[in-house]
Amino acid sequence: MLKRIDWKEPGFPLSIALHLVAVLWGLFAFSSPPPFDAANEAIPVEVVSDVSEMTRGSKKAEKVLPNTPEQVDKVADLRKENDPGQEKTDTASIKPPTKQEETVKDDPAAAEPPQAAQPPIPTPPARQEAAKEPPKEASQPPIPTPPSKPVKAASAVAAAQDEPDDKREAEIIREQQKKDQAKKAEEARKLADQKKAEEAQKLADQKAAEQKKADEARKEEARKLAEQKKQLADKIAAAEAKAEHEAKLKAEKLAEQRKKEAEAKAKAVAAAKKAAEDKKRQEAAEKAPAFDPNAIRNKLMASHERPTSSGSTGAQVSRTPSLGTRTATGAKLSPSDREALVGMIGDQIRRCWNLTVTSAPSVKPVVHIELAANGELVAAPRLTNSSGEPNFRAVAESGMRAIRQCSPYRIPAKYAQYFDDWKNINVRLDPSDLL
Amino acid sequence: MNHFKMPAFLQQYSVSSALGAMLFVALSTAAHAELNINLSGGNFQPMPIAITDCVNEGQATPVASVITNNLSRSGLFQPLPKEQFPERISNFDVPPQFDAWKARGAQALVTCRVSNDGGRLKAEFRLFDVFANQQLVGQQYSTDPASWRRVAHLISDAVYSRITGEKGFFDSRVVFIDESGPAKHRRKRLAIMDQDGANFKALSGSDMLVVTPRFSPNSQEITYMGFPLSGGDPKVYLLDVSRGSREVVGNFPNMSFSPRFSPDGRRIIMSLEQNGNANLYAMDLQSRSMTRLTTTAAIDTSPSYSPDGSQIVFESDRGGTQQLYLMPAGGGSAQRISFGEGRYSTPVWSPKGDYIAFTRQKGGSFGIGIMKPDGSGERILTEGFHNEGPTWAPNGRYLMFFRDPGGQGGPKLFMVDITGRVQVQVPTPNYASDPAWGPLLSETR
Repeated sequence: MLKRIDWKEPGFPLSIALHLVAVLWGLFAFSSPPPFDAANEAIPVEVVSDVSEMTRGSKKAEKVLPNTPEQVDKVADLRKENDPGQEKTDTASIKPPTKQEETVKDDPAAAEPPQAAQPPIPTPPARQEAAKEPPKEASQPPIPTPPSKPVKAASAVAAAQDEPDDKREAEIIREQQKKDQAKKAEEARKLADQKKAEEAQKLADQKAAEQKKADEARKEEARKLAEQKKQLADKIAAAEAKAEHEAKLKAEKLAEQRKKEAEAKAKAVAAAKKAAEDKKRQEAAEKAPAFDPNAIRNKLMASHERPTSSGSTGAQVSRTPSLGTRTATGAKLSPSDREALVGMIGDQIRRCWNLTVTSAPSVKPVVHIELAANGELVAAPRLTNSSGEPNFRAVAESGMRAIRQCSPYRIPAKYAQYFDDWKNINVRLDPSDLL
Repeated sequence: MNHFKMPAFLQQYSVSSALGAMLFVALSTAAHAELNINLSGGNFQPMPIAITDCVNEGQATPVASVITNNLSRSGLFQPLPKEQFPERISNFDVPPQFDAWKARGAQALVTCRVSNDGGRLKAEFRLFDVFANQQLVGQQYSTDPASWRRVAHLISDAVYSRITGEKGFFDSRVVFIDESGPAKHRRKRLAIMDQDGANFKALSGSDMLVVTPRFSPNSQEITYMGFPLSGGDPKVYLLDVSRGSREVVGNFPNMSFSPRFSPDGRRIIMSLEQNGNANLYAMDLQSRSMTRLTTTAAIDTSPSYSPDGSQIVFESDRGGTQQLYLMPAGGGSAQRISFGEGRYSTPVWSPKGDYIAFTRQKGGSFGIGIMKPDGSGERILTEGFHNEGPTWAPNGRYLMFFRDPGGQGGPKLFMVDITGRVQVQVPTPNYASDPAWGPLLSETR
């Protein structure tokens, strides 16, 4: 028999209720556990060769481009092709000592391996052109002068101003015109006759060209004549008009003269004013206080304008930002390949390294070498550090002898594509554990 | 299961240099895309060197053969046989054919010329780095023709010094005990010779038994203990080699032994026996005053100064067995520095100050070893039936000692370098023991 629930003692029923809730929650919670995420395949470390090249793009860009062009807003004023380091070495190269000179050198301190003479770096042609350009720019282009009026027209205008001679002049011009017309007609006829005679003598294929030339000449002559006629007619008309409207011309002339005078006056006043302003500006500049960086700072601090950019510059405008590239472009040695190559070259040097010391220096010599693609030394090994310890030099020299003797180094062909990554080598010489 | 494996190039060097190497790799990797190789190890093979016959201009001396012998005995050089020479140097002032010498494997080349310069011997030499195509050093000497061997030793020192960065040791002499006759009636006398065994000369007659000769560090003086065969106590003697004069250093009632010079040559430190014990005393050679340095009921002997003269290392049985102790040069509390197995004796401080050489008796064998002055870095260089009496070369890189094979034979002198890799016998006309290597002749008063 079930006991009736005594609400005065709620512990038992409450416990049952809570246990029921817990069991139900457990059923629901554990019945459908969240599935595990599918494990992504691990990326081999060796594949990630150079992340910096992949992340070279702009974060704000929306798309990925195969190459990551630098965003350029405007073309740079001056594109410098060579870096300052190259310019620094572009001095007169020292003539390398000959073998004979080297062998009779007595100073052991100067027994550094001879450095290969740097060939003079040619000055980029762009810079030469740029150097040549300023004189061109400096020389001002010829200012086009207005076509000068024909002397005769000028004299006619001047003559027209003299009232008594105007009519005579007009008659003379008319006679001269008639004579000129007659002369030119005769000359044209003569020319036409001559050309006809010449045309008959020349070959058939030249006839067309000659005729064309003659036509052009005739046309030109006719055009010139027409122009002369027109000019003469104009002059005559002008002379007559001027003679008839003398007063009007005089008035106009006077008005023009007054206008010119007024303009000249105005120019003089403007020039004077400009000179006065320049003088004032110069005086103001002279009276201006000395350069005060704090004043600039105060002005900048007082400004509430947001900083603006004038835009990046480059060789050509490129307004397309890129998010980066999907793959890196540089061929880099993977860590395991690098370690293998280090061991390979180290073993080769070690085989040639004959130790001639009985103690190790505390500072270990570091020798820099540069290899060609075929494993040969490009230049003499170079010691990159120094120490006053007597055995330092002995260890360094023994190492450099070994490096020279072992050249050329055997580099497997599979490393050829990474040449830029292994051509420069630093060798740290540490004979400690042998001594 | 994967185990972490240290890269091969990291396994090859000690922890002390590992940090430097890792820093080198880390820094340079961060700076450039360059390969960084930490080259440890190398070959302890002698360096191939060619020493050509000297161009002879009126002075026929085998200078080149002495140089060849010296460099070969140092163990650091391997002279090329003459048959392999690609050219004969007939003009000293013409550069050699480097490519031809390279092809024969020579890494260095020595050429020389000897000539008669108004009755004096003029010797010149040049040392070339064959692979660098350049001269490393070139010097000339002018001396009496009878001293041509010294010139050869000086040239050897110059070559050795230029290649190794260490001071040479060829222009030096050795005093030792010349032993002759059957084992039961062995005749022992003091003798001197060049370090290569040449110019042997006896310094004492048959009337005295001589032991523990010691060279002055800066002069041609020798101190030793002599037992007059006619009777009497053994005494400590002082011999001037150049003048041939000999004197007794003090007249002590009991036995005095194991004398050795201080670094400045002004004092002699020795043991004096009293009532069955032996204590250390220092005597000023000018005033002949004695200073007692130890007061123990034990046998303190074989003292040797540090190069700066501030400390003394000696052997003592105060702890029960023969061990090495260190104390201030003026006396005071001594500190034990040898803790290995066996008994330690005959300590000698290196002229460079970096090591103390000793004889260690362990089981039935005697070994020659070195340790750092604080007792660390102990290294046994050679071990056998009987090796004893180490003495340092002037450059502190080689030790000479005597080795007695036992039986009817007698002791012979040997030379070992501080790495233990080079070990050669020193030629002597008879049996020889107790060598003491003198300073460079060019550095003595």
